[in-house]
Amino acid sequence: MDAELLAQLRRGTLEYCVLALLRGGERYAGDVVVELGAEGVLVASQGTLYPLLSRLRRDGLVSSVLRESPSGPARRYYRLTARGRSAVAAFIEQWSPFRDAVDRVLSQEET
Amino acid sequence: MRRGSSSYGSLPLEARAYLDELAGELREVPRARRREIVDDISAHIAGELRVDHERGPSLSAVTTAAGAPPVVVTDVLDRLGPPAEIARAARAELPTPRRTPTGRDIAAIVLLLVGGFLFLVGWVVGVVLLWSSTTWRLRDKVVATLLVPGGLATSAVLGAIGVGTTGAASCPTQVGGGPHLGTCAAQTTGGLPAAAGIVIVIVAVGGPIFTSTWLSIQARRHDRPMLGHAGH
Repeated sequence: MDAELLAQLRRGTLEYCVLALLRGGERYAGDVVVELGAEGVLVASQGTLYPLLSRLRRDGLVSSVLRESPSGPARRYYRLTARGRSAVAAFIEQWSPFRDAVDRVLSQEET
Repeated sequence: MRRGSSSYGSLPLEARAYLDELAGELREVPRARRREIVDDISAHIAGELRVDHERGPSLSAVTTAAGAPPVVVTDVLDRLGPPAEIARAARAELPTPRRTPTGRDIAAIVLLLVGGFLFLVGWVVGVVLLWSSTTWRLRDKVVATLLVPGGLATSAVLGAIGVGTTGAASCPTQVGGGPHLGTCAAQTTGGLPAAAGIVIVIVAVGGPIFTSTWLSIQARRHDRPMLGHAGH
């Protein structure tokens, strides 16, 4: 049940967390996955982020490039597109009032 | 079962088994996406093992060898999560059926309505587009095809016949059927009975218009979620 609840909460937010991590510039997919995967409530398991990254790329919010790795297979690097940048900016703008409103309503219960 | 890219031949046995299982779980995902996910995750595993290798010589000795100790590889695989869970996430990321009608669907609706004026060929193309679309249910397709084959062109022909039998003189501005037909039929005594004329007009003109309106509504309403593919 908790897993279901978390999945619902992640649905509208996780992709913006991914985009937000790319604001600083191009990053290796594995680093993004490991960093977000460390946030237990945000990500069920690291592997599920790869399909999400793939979809963000198909939606044109990020672009990716394969770079040769000194050891092992080529690594995919992601960067924000202009659309991705404005999408994450719009999310950040809406997120604080949204979160505050939820907090306000939830805290009313006990008063 | 398709093997992944050649790059994962150098990975430990557990990782290769994991990637094979993942590829199997992803069988419902389009090939390009499946390959991308498997390749990315195989690069992830290779990268993680190399990170561990850099962390300490005691680990490096074992992680780089083909027979890496199960504990390190399985840690990486555990963090990635079960292949079934990744596949579920991948299916949840597939595009949902469109809410806005596609160009083909719009063309089908327009051609069913007025395509008959293009020597009937336009209407036939409309029928083909209608039946090849996944937007509408079988019921919608049957109704749209049978509720006045030919669309408004048929209405026009019926109108012209009506005018012919009721006498063109009494209806000087008769074009393409329309409400005039009933009026004409009502005004004359030699042609179709007035009531029959009205019914024909309603069916012949109202049918195609009803059909195209109905198809438009259904095309927009078509937003059923991907069954059992919710991302959890």
